[in-house]
Amino acid sequence: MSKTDSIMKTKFLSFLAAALSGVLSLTSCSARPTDDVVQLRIDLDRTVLPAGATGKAVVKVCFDGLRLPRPEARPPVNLSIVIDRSGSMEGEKLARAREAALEALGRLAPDDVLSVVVYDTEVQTLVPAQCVGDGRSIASAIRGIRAGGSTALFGGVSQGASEVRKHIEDRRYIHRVILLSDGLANVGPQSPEELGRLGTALVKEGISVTTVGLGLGFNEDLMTRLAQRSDGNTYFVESSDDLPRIFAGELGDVLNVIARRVVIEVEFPEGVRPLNFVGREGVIRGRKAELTLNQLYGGQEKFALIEVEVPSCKAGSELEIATAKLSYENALTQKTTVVRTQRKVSFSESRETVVSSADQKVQNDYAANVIAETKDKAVELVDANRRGDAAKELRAKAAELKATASTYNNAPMAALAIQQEAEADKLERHGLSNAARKTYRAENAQTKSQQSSSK
Amino acid sequence: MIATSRRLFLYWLLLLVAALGVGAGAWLLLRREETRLATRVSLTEAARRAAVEARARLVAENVELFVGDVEAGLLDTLAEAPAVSLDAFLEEWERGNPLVRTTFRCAADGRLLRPAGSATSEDARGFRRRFATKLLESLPWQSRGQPVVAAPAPVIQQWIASEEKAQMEDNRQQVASNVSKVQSARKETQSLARAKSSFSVSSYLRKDSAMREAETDKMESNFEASAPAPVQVQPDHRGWTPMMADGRLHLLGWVQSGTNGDVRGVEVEMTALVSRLGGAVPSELAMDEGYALRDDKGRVVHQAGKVTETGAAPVARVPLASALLPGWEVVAYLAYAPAESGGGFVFIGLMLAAILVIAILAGGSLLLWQARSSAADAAQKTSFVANVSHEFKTPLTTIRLYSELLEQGRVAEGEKRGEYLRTIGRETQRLARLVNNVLDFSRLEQGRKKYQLAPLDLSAALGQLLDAHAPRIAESGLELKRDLPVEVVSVTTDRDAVEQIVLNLLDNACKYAAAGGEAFVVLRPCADGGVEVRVGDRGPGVPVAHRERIFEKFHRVDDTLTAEKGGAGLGLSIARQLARGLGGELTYEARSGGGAEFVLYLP
Repeated sequence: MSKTDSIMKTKFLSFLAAALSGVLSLTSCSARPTDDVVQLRIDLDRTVLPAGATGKAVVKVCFDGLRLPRPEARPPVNLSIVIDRSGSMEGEKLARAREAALEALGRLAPDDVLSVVVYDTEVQTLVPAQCVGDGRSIASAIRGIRAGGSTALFGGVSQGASEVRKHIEDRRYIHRVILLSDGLANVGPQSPEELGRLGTALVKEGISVTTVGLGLGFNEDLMTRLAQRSDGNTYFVESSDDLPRIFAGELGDVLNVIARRVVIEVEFPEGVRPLNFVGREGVIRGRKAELTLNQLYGGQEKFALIEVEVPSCKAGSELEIATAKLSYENALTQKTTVVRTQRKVSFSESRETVVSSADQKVQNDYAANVIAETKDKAVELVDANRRGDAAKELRAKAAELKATASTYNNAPMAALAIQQEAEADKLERHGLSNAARKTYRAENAQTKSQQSSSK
Repeated sequence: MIATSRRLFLYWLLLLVAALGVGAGAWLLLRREETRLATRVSLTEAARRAAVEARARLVAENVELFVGDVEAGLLDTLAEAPAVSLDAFLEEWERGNPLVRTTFRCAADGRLLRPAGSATSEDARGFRRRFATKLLESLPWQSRGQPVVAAPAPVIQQWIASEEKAQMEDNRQQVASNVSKVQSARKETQSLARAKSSFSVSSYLRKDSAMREAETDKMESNFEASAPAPVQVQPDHRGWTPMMADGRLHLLGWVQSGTNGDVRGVEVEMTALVSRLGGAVPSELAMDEGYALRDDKGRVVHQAGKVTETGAAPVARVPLASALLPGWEVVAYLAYAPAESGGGFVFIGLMLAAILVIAILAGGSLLLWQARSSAADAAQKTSFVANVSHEFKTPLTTIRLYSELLEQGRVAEGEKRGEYLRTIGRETQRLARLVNNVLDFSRLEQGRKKYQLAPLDLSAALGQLLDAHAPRIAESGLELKRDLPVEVVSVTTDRDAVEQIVLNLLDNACKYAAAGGEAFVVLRPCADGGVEVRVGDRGPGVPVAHRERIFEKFHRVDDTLTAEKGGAGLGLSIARQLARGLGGELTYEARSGGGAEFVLYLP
C-alpha cells in the first residue's frame, strides 16, 4: 500500500514537473506578440503547373489552430448532453452512457454551463442549463436516468438546443450539444434531411451538435448529417464500453476551442474557375468560395480543398492563383481577427519540374477526401441495390488515384488506392453490412471535417 | 300442533319481511349511490376534458403567437432591408439567421430574380426547383385581399375564468409556468427574427470596411440608417403563403415594395421553426394527459405526456395557426381511469346485502326448524308417557278386578276361579312383557344392552316359543300357521333377543290383524349362510307413508290417545334395534294378497 502510494507520488510529482515545464515553455513561446490563434496558409497540389493548357489544380486552404497558450484559461463551455433513454438503451448501454456523461461532467470547470436532456417518447430536461459548480446535484441526476419508451430524437435535440439557448447571449461560451442515441428516431421529424436542416439552423446560432451513434440500431445518415451540417463531430461506437473514452475525447475538443464563427473566403482571379469543394460543404459563388465553420480546435490542422480550373498560361509566367481571407472570433478574447494570405503558382513546360513541385501531403489529403466522397456515393448506390455500380465507382476512383500516384511517385497515395480496390472487391462480394455502413459514414464524415478525435 | 306451525310460519314470515326490507333498503341505497357516483365521475370527466381542451387551445394559441412573432419579425426585417445592395443584405441574412432558409427576390410578374438561375449552391437550386414555377403561377401578392397575418388575441385569461374551481389552482400554476416559458421563447424569437444575423460576421465587416467594395460600404451605412426608424414612406404590401413542395409544407413570406412593385421574400427554415414549437407543449402534465403537435400529414412533431397513437380517440383537436400552418393541429389525449367507475362498488355492495339477507333467512329458518323439531319431540314423548300409562293401566285393572273377586270369595265354582287365576297370570305376563320392552328400550337407548350369543337350533327354539304362546294367539282369534324345517337350523345368537323380536311381531299381529284370521311364521335358511324368519298376517297392512317410520321409536300410525289400539310405539323400534344388535336386519314387506309381512334376517 505504502509502496504503491510512494510510486504514485513520484509519478505524480514527475508529471507535475513535466506539466509545469510544458506550461513554462508554452508561456515563453506565447511571449511573442501574437493575437493570431489560427494560422492561414494556402497549399497547392503542385506549385508549378504545366504551361499551355487549361488544367485542374487543387487548392488546399489550411487553417491550423494553435494550442491554447494556457489550457486552464480556456473559454467557458455551454454544453448540453442529450441522452437517448429509449427501451433499447436499457442495461449496459445506459450504464455506460451515464458513466460517459459523468466523465464529461468531471472534465468541466465550475463556471462551465451544463444541461442534461433525456428523451424517450417524450423529452425531459433532466438538468436545466446551470453552472456546473461542484457538480454533485448534476451527477446524482445523471445517475438517476432510467430507460423506457421510444425515440423522440428531434425533440431531444430541440430541447438540448433550447437549454443551450438560455446562455446564447453570453458570447464567452462555447455552445455545444452532444447527442447520444442508439436507435431510430420514431417520434417527430426523423429524416436525415430534416435533421440536417436542423443542424444548418443551429450552426447559424453558433450551436454545434456532436452525434454519438451507439450500437448498430441508429440511423447513421441522420447522425452524420446532423453533425456535419452543424459542424460538430460524429462518432460511431459499436461497443458501449468505448463511450466514456469517446466523451472524454469529445470534451477534449470542446474544451480546446480557440476560435469561433470562422469564415473562410477564397477569391480567385479572372480566368481561374473554382469547380467545387472536395470533402467539406462550402458555397461557391462565381469566383468566390466560402466556407463557414462554427469553431476551430487548438492544436488541430483543418483544411478545405477546392478544385479549380486554371487557364492556359505561358511557361515562366506566374499567376496569383488564390487569395484567402479568414475571419474568426478569438474564443478567449472575443475579438474578431481577420487574416489574409495569397498564393502564386508558376507555369513550366518541363514535366519534371511540374512533377517535382508536387506537394504529396496535399495530394494525399485530396485523395483521402475524394475517396470519402466516393464512398458516400457508393453507400447510396448500395442502398439502391446497385452493388456492382458502387464497386465500379470506387474502382474507377482508385484507378484514377493510382495513375496520379505513379505520375508523382506518391507511395502513400498508391497504397490508399490499392486499399480501395480491395474494399471495392469486398463491397461487390458482400455488400455493406450494417456495421460497415456505419463505419463508412462515420469515417467519411470524420475525414471530410478532419475530426481528430475519433476512436 | 297446527297452531304451533302457524305461529312458526308467522315468525318466519316476519323474519322474511324484515330481511327483504333490509335487502330492498340496501339495494335502493346502493342504486342511489351508484347514480351519484356515476354523475360525479361523469362530471369530473367532463371537467377534465374541458381542462384538457382548454389547454390544447392554449397550446394552439401559443403556437400561433409564436409563429406570428416569427413572421412579423421576419417581414419587418425584410421590409426594412435597404433597397441598395439588397442582394448582399439578403445573403448575409440567409447566412446568419437560423429561421431563414432562403431569401428570394421577384419581379412583380413572378419572375424569380434571386436566387439566380446560375447559382450553384444546393439550397439555391432547390429553391428554384420548388418555387420558380409556382410563384409564376400563383403570384400570391396579386391577391390584394386580406393579407395573411397572424393576429393572436389575449385569450389566456378568458379560459382560466371559465375553468372549473378544483382544477383551477393547479392549472393556473401550470399555465403560468408554461406562459413564462413561452414568453421567454417568444422574446428570444422576436429578437432573433428581427436580427440580421446571429453570426458575428457583420461586426467584422464593419471593422474591415476599408477592404470592402464601395457597394458593401454603402450597405453598411444603410443598415445603420435604417435600423432605428422605419423609413418606408409608401406602405408595403406584405403577406405569407404556405406552399406544398416535395410533399412538405414551406412557408414563404414576401414584401412587395410600394414604389416599384418588386417583391422580396423569405422562405422560413421550417425545421428550425418546428424545433422551437416544442416549447409550446406543456411540460408539466397530470399523469393521464397527453398532447401532441401533428403536422399536415398527421405525423407527430412534438409530444408530451401519454399520447396513444392508435388507441383512444383524442379528446380535442385544435388547428394550429390554420392560416399559416394548414392542416397542423394540436391533439390532446386523456387516458381514462377505469378504477374510478362505481359499477364494481355497487356490485360488491349488492352482493354483500344479498349475502346478509340470505344469512338472516337461513339462520332464522334453521332456528325455527330446530324449535319445531324440539316441539315435535316433546309432543311425542308426552304421547309416549300417556300411551305407556294407558298400556299399564289395562292389565292392572283386570288383575285388580279378578284378584278382588277372588279375595272376597264371591266366586264359588272352582272352574271359574281357575279361569280367573289364568287371566290374572296372563295379564301379569303381558305387564311383564310391557315392562321388559320399556326396560329394553331404555337399555338400547343408552347402549347398555348385552347379548349372550350362543349356538342355537332356531327351528326348535321357535317351535317351543310358538307352542308356549299358541293359546294366547288362538285366543285373539288367529290361526297360527308355522313352517319350520324339521332338520336342525343352527345359528349363533341370543335366544332371548330373538324370542322377543318374534313375540313383538306376533303381538302386533294379534293387536292389529285379528280380523285377518291367520298369522304365520316361516323359517328359511338363506343362501349366504344366514336365516330368515318371516312373520306375516292378513291384517290391514301398513300405509306406504309409514313403512319406514314404523321402526322409529314412539311412532304409531295412529298417534292419537283415542286410538283404537293402545301401545307405546316401542315394539317395532325395539325389534329392529335388537335385530341390528345381533348383526341382522328387520324389514317390512307388503304381503301379496293383503296384510303385513316382517322379515327378520339373522346371520
